[in-house]
Amino acid sequence: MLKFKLLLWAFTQLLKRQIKHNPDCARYVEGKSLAFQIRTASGVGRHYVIRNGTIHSSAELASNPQFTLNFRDAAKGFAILAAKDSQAAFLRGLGSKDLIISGDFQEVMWFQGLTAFLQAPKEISPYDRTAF
Amino acid sequence: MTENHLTTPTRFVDVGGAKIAYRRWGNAKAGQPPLLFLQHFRGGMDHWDPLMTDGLAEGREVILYNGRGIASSGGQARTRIEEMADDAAAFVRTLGLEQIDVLGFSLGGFQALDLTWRHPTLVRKLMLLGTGPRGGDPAMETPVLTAAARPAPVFEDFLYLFFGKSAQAEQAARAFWARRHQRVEQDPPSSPEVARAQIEANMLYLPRLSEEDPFAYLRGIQQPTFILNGVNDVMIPTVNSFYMVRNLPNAQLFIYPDSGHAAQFQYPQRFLHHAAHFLSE
Repeated sequence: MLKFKLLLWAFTQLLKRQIKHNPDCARYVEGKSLAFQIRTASGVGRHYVIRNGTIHSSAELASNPQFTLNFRDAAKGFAILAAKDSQAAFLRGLGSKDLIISGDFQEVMWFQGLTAFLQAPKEISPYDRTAF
Repeated sequence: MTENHLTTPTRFVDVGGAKIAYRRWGNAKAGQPPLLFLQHFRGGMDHWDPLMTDGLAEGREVILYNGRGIASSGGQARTRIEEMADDAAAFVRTLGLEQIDVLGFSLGGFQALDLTWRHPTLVRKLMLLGTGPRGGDPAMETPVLTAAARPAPVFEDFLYLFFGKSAQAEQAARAFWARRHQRVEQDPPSSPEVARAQIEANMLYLPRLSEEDPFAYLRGIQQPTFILNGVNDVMIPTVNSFYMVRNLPNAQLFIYPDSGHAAQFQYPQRFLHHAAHFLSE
C-alpha cells in the first residue's frame, strides 16, 4: 500500500516537472480546470486538481471529482500504474475490472493525453519505418 | 429513383421507447438487401458523403441512421458498443427487414462488427471502414485526443483526423467538406453527452477479450467482409485492419495510398467502384 501511495504522490511531482520544463505540456494544461482522483476500493488514494496551469494534489479524497480511477486494491493499482507497457496494462485492468472508471470519460481521455508527456519517446522498430 | 441524399426526408421510428431518426432511399427493385450505414464518433446522417451514399443507392436501398441519443434521434446515448449494436438490430427489425448489408465507419465499424457477431442472421455482407476489432492496437496519435474531442470540430480537425498529408489529400478533403454540406436540411449536432458516452464506449471496447488469443471471436463471423483503411490512420491504427483480415474467414482488405482514417472520403470514386462490386458479386 505504501508503494501505491508513494507512486500517487510522485505522479504529482513528475507532472509538475513536465509542466515546468516542457512547453508542450504547459500549453496542454493551460486554461484547464479539472479535479480527479485515483483510489482503491477500500478508500486509499489521492485527489488531484489542475488549475491555473499547474497541478496540486492531496491525500484526502473528495466527494465530487470529475472522474475517478478505482483500483481493486493497492497492489493492482501499483502494478498497472507502474507498468512499462502502461497503455496495455491500463486496458488489461479495464478488461479484468481491476480498474473501474467512473465519471466523465471525456476528461479521462484528456488525462490520457497528459500522461503521454510522462512516457519515454516511442522507439520505432525497423519493421515499422514508413514513408510518412 | 426520385429521392437522393440531399432531398430524402428525415423519418422517425419508435425503437424501444426512443424516437430514432433515419433516412431511406435508393433502388428498391434491385433485389439486393438494403445497406445500413453506421457512423463515426458523434457523427450523424449528414456526416456521410452524398457521392458515396447516392452512388451505392443506385444498386440498392441505403439507410442512414442516428443511434439512440445521436443528433436528431431521441433517447439517451449508449455507453457500450454492444448496446449500440443491439439498438441497430432492433431498428432494422422494427423496419420489418429480415436481412441487411451493413457498413460501419470508425466507431460505427465497432458497432457493425458487434452487430454481425451478435445478430448473425440479420447481416448478409459486412463493410468495415477505418475501424478495428475488440482488443486491437489502441495507439492513436496524441493530437487526436484534442482534435477529436473539440466541442465543435472545424475543417482543419477533419483534415488531420480523416485525410492524408499531401496537397492532393487536402484537395480531396475540401471537396468532401463541400459535398457533405450540400444538404440544406441538416441534422442538429450531437450533444456533449453523446461525446462522453461514446468515449466511454470506445475505451471499454479496447480491452482484449482473451490475452492468449484476442481475435478468436472474429473467426466465427462468416459473412463476406470488405475492409478498407488508409495507409496511415492516425485514429485507429491501420494495422488493426490487417488483424481483422487475418481473422475474419471471408474478409478482403483494401489499403488506399496517401490516406488516413477516412480513405473512402478521400477516394470516393475508387471506393464506390470497389464497394459496388463487393456488394453485387
